[in-house]
Amino acid sequence: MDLYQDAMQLLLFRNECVEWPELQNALQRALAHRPVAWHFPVKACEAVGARAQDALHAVAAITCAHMAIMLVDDILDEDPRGAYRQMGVGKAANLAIALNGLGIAVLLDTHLPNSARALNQMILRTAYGQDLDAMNLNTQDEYWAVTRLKSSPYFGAALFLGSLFGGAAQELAEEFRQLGELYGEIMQIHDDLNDSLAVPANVDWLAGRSPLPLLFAQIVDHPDRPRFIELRNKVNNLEALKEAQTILVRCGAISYSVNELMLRHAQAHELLNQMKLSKPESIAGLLNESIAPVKHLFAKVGADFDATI
Amino acid sequence: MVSMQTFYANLFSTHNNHGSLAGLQRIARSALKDILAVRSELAWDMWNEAK
Repeated sequence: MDLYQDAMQLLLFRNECVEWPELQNALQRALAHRPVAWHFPVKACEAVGARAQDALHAVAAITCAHMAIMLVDDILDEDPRGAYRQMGVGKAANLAIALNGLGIAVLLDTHLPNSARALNQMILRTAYGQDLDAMNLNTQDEYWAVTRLKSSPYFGAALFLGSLFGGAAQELAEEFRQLGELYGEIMQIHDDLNDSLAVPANVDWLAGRSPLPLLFAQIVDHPDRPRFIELRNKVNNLEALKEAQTILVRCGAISYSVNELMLRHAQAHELLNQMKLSKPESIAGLLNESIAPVKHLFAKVGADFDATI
Repeated sequence: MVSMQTFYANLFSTHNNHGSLAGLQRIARSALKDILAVRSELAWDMWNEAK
């Protein structure tokens, strides 16, 4: 049984999709491109002792939400890979509205119609986060505020909805939401490390955005700071990029980002240990996957990760 | 939440070289090529996975 395929069939056979070919086409494309964390509702459902298939509607709903987020995110980022390039900005924006509506409709038609409130809240918070992010805010507090709005709600809602459909009480479901939101912050830090270390330079360097390592190198008073600020607008030149990335390592920006990642991983584990679950290993596996790259980095530089715990 | 400036001060303090800080200090003293070598594993383009 492939629960993701089942969730997509559930969406494709709804009247809204049958009568709207473009909506149907978008969902057909998503059959082969699963959204990140699509399986989180399943993991939460299993963690509370329910069957994977009980998460079916939650998987369908968060898939719709993810597709909508991506359509709009690509427009905001002017991403050349975005669907808006083929269909146009107006159509892409309209499709995003439709997908958000479809996800909510799926949940309203279940035995837990109130679950739609959680999806709606996630969509609202994410949209606000995307809007703030587009303003290129540049302080430490602003960075974390945007991350909590832009990246955390999706993962929080995925675990919340999965646990709810698995039969979790509201209090436990809220703990799943907190756990998912911490996971969202972890993912954002991973993404920022990835973007900062890209060769050739990621668009963030020149677009005035500040992924976490770049923000650190710009804010902290360190000897290479003036040179870093000078270099960041010249990183189309590979030598300048190499020098700027070397400063990111040397000034502690990479170490800081890794530390923030480890702190959240520890918090998430602590929260998981407090939760009364039938199968906590279902969620522990997700957390372990998220810290694996850090362990690898520690090993590469000859450090003992286990000594940090 | 520890401020970035405080973290920086702790990271390069000669009095702190135990636990997680020792590992983080090693990262800061590493060559860029060593960090880039593990980037492929660090890479996790979360929002773009669906493309």
